[in-house]
Amino acid sequence: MRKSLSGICVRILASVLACSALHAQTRMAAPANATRAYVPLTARTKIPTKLTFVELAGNTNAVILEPVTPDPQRSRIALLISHPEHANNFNYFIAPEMASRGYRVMMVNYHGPEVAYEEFLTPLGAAMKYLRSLPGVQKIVLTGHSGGGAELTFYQEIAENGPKACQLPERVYPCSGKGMDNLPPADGIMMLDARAGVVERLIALDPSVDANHPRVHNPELDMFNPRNGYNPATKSGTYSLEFEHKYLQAQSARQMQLIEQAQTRLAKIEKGEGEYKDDEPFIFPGSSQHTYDGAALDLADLKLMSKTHAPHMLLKADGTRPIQIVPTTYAGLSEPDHEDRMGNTVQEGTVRSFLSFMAMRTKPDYGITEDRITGVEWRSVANSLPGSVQGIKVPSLFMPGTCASHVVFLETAYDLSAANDKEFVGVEGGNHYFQACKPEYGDPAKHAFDYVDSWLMKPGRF
Amino acid sequence: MARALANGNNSPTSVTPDLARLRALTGGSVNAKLSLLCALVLSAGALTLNAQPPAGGAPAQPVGEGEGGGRAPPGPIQSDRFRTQYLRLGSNDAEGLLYEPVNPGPKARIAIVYSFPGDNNFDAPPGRELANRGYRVLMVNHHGVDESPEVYGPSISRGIQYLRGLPGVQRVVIIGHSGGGHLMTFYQNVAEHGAAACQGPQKVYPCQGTRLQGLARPDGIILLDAALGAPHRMSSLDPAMNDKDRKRDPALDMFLPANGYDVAAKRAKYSADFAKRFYAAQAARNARIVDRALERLHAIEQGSAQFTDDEPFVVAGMSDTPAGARLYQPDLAFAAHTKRPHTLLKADGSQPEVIVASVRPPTGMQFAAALGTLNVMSDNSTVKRFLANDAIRTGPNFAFTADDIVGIDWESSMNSAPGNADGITVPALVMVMSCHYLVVPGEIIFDHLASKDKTFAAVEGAVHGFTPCRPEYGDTVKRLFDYVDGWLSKAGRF
Repeated sequence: MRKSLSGICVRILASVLACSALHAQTRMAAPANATRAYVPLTARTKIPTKLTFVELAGNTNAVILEPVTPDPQRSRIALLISHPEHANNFNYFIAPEMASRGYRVMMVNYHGPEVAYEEFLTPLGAAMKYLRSLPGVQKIVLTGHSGGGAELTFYQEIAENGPKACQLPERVYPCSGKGMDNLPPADGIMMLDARAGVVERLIALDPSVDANHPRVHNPELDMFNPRNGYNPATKSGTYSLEFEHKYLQAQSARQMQLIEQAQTRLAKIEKGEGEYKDDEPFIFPGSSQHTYDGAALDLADLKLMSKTHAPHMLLKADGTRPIQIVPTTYAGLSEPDHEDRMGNTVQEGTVRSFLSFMAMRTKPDYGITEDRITGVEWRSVANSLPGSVQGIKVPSLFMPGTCASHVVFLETAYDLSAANDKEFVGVEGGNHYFQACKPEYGDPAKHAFDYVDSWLMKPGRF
Repeated sequence: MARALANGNNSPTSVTPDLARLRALTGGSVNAKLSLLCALVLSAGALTLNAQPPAGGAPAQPVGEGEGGGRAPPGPIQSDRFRTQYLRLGSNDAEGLLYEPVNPGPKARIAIVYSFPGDNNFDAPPGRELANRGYRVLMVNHHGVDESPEVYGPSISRGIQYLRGLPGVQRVVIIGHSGGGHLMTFYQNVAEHGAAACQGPQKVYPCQGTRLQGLARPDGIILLDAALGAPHRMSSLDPAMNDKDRKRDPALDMFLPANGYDVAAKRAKYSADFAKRFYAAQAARNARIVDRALERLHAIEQGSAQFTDDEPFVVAGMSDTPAGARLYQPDLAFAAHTKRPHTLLKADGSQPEVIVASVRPPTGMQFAAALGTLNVMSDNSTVKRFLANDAIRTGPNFAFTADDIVGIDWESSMNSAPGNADGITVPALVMVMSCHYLVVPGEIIFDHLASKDKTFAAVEGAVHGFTPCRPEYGDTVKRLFDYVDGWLSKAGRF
């Protein structure tokens, strides 16, 4: 599990955090200065800030970036950032942006094994308790970016509702419930181009790959087969409705088959008839992240998941904020993943880690359109932002960059959110890190974080 | 190391609570496992499979174990004598926590780099202990997949370079504890001799070397209860395990009373015949497994394997943690004492030159109950990771004796502390904790060091995590780090 996740997402994250503006999803060529020297967080803020290392527990550490002189309005609100997959979160790009605007920002690193999704709860609880103990901190807002979105909303869902929220009847692999009572809830959540969780692996699961021979593909189901509509020259595709339907049905079937395999093997393990007493390796090819090189139809066929289905605020490059259908603005950059490389596409996990992190069920109407994703059992797995927000009532902000691939997912989460006070705001031309994917989009990060500031400061909200 | 125990109550508990706790300790992924390498060693005395995991709240601290006085409450790491500063070391994968004396004295001209194959080293005891004694200490974390010892090279090098750039720093010494011991011997050897030091026909799996160009050279090296690396992993192989049918051969089963294992007494007494049979079978199984990994590597390189880069490689009945099948855990007759007299730091303050005896209690009894598990008693790896970290050649005469380990080709693995010690020429201090089983391995590393200026000392009654195993051994942490302090500050050395 960890290897492949780190190998793809975390490395991308790390390199982008280092060079500030590069991600596959940006649909940009790598700038020549991609490896330019690192600027310390405290030097990246516009006001004097300090960085403090804090040990939270044996397996959890944090740093806090904050203004040297507390902002009279904002120092009472602390933001909490984390990300799974053993990423080093201590240089998160969000921190200097928000510290510059006067907030305290805590970044949390958890060092545990990550074999069960519920492991994240206790470390995040320790971080919450520590933040609450700081003089002057009155409100805490969970700030999820990328894979941190699902992690932090899972935390908040359990903190608001207790462990019963991860023992729902539809859950494929219910949580143990232990140590999950009395987690301190946050006062709000912000999903800043957060990933939706494992659904973004489901949508990139290759149904054409032969599980035993990952270099062999069923041409009928291969989305990178030109006969099915893919154009290698433009790295994009135009698929027929018939192919889309066939492909998504097969994707769904493969996912359900994987879940069934894992459950069958777990039942054997629990009966003492497994290969091992406790768990077994569970390895399957053709599973990528939903970035540029997975087998995700929407990344190739740009009409798919290309806009919201309802009007929302769009932070435009010119500074206006119209309410409109929010379109995505990325160009095709879809390539076949190297499915013959274990490090790229194979989920090097175990039966239990698969069930805990990845066992998201689909329904017969599984499908994607130009503005929706349907037929997903959002609450069948813990690693699901649209699932967890169904149990979150605190003020919630959902803010995708339109030049990344999470617009429709975050609108889905917005729709499903149980919060009375919720907003969906698009950031025009912002990539996964709110950097402009084309020069004409100006400074999306400024628009985004100015808006975040105003959202946090809205009278009566926090 | 005690930090690892804090994982106990975060574990997935859909397995039995006991196994869940063990699994949390050992980790489900390679890097996490490594960062927790000594957790089971530390906890071996207190943790049993029948122990209930702690309810809620803070996990129980094993009695007499841990890192010198338990965990501080959440907050910044600091004292009245030192402060700490978080640093990024050139890439998001490499980070450091710098401990600096509040009032730098003459010792602050010597800076120390501590690292370990894992990403959570900031509060390891050498940081605070040496900073309290006046040194600058940089704790280095490397985030990433533990493909090979090579991956840590650039991070450690950047840490050394950072310290060399600090005004007033004149010497940089590296320090490794436990798994950090074999990591730092690897680093030192390669820093002195380049990537050629981990290449050549004698290596089962030579290093790639691309990340090992121009590593910053330390001025000295300190090893605290160092683990051997690949030889340590190899010595966990269960020879009773039949790789074909997964059945265990009773004639080679160290956990059977008929072979000398005494569940009630929590120790074992193996006959010479059994030990001979066991070690011969262990070496033979090791040879088969290493050959199998090399065959798979060949298939991958030829393009005839399932994948083109690597493939899963799971060895049942092996461990990359302190678990596994190790006669020297329950039977204290193995790895019992040093070959020659060495300095022993006794509780009464005396420092006699004596044969150093390991005064450890029997351990490892809990692993019998974990037989057949993936997370405790298997090495869930890949072909390349196995070859880089675990694979070493043994001969038919392989054995642990009372004062030695014989029949092993120390030079055949890049991840072998004795093999790397052969190339180390800078001043070196090797210290062992006499209430643990690494006394004899420590002496082997010491004997291999090429350094003209080398020192070996044992802390009487200290466990692997430096604290005393019985009250009469006094303040072992103080004796240990006072000795390190004296060695570092000795006139003319640095």
